[in-house]
Amino acid sequence: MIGLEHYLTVAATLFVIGIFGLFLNRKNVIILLMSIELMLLAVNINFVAFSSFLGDLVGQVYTLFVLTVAAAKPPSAWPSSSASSATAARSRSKMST
Amino acid sequence: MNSADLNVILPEVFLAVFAMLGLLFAVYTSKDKMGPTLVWATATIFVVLAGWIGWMGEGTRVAFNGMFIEDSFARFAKVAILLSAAAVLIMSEGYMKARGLLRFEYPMLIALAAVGMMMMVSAGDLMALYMGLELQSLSLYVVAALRRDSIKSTEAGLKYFVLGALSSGLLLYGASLVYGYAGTTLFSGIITTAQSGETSVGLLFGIVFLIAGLAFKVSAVPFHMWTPDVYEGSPTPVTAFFATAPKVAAMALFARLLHDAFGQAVGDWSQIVALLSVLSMFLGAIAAIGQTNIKRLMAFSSIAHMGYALMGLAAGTAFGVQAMLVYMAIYVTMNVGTFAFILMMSKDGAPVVEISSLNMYSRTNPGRALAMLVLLFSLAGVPPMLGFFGKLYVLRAAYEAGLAWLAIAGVIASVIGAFYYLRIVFYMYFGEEQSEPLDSGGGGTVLPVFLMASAIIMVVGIANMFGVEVAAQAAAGALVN
Repeated sequence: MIGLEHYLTVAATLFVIGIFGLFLNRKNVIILLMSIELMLLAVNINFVAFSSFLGDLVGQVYTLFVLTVAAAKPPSAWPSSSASSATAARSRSKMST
Repeated sequence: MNSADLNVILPEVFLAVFAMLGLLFAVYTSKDKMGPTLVWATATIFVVLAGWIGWMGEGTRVAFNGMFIEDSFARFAKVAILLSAAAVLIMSEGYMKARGLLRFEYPMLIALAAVGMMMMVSAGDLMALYMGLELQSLSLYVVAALRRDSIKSTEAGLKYFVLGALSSGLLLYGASLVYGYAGTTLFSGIITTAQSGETSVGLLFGIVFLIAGLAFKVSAVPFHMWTPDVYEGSPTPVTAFFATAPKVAAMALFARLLHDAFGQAVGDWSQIVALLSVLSMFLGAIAAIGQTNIKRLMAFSSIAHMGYALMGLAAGTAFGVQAMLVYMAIYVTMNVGTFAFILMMSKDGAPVVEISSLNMYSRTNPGRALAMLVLLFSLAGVPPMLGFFGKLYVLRAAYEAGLAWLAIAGVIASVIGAFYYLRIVFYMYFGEEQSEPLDSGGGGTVLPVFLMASAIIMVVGIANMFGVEVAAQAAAGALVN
């Protein structure tokens, strides 16, 4: 029988994997975004598990809000990430010429 | 949702609609040429809203089934946020325009961040807390990377984004645990759960994660590592913004969460907050000593100041919250003046951030040097200035709450911290002669006015704090009962 504690364990594991992904990866912005997404989705598992366990819908409503914000996050990182790769490319092309 | 609910959040709705209309308007007209106009319009609206909230609001009003609370605590924080944001916007106009950074998105993003901050301080539910926090953070991530041709600025933006996302992840994880073990996300519901007997382990874990997430936002040690890099990399007006309004908002949210949701478990969180406080004070004081860049120095200075503000919170009493609010109000005023000075530091029109460039500044511009001296003394907490009374307030709150060790640690850290503030004074008055001194004029009329006004408040404020004390007392009374 799968109980609440199993869901919480899975969520905690995913959350820790997300944190490690954030700190171990130093090169790729996309992987950073994936790690952040992993953390947020781990939290969502927590919310849905608690929501079903408590028989209360608020947790699932919270999940929808978290998903919405998670969708809005990569665009807000875009100005910094795209520009830093563009400036890096520019300085690289300067070096070759 | 009904009209009574909407009535309570009218200032927020107004500001959000203004931000969206401003964006549309600028896109359909002359785009970046609208920048200065929008900056002034936004600043005016901030001041008008601050007046509206400060003088019209009375009592406590609750909207959306307790998710949004409008009481005198929220009003105090909102007025401080809006006024400091308006001051920073006005200060940044000349600097940004001269460097071609004044895009029309800048004032609009600041306006949206202000909406988020107003949501944060009024949050009465973990959901409202999260939405407000994210609205503020997402706007600030973009603002930090405003200078897209500079590697330092974009790096600052990316770093801020990654660590900010990590912190909101921690905060959310805490929120999910609190929801699971308390059975509700409403602060008023959580407090009744905590009331009945012992705090359960799950709830305790939730509190710890929530505090860790919020400590990131106020840049308390050990969650401070983004602060120096982001302060250094962002354009200076943006740094000035980071150092003022968001700090007030995050601190107010901290107090709101701890007292509204966990007010019955003071013993559980007081030690954690006291630890954050003592670490921040010492790291801020010691790490700033080796800095040569004044923006990095201000970053460590703000870490130390957050430590003192947290000391008021660690007391866990109404007087502690009052001390924290008074401290934040003084801190914001000092920082606006100091950053006005930093924005004026230039050589042949180009901005300079090296502290050593201030050598013998008192000779080229005695008036500004004197104003900066007053501000630095105040930041250090030297007795005749207002900054000293802010520190005295929080030390007293900690002492009266039985945290004498914390108060003593605060005094020691403040003595260590005085060194690096006074070193700038030493450079300005007794430094070496420089072959190429900083520009003596410049900065237009706006920046000197803010610098002087802030310095004058630091002196005049000793006699009369302009009602801040009374307002803070009322605010603390509304939060803690």
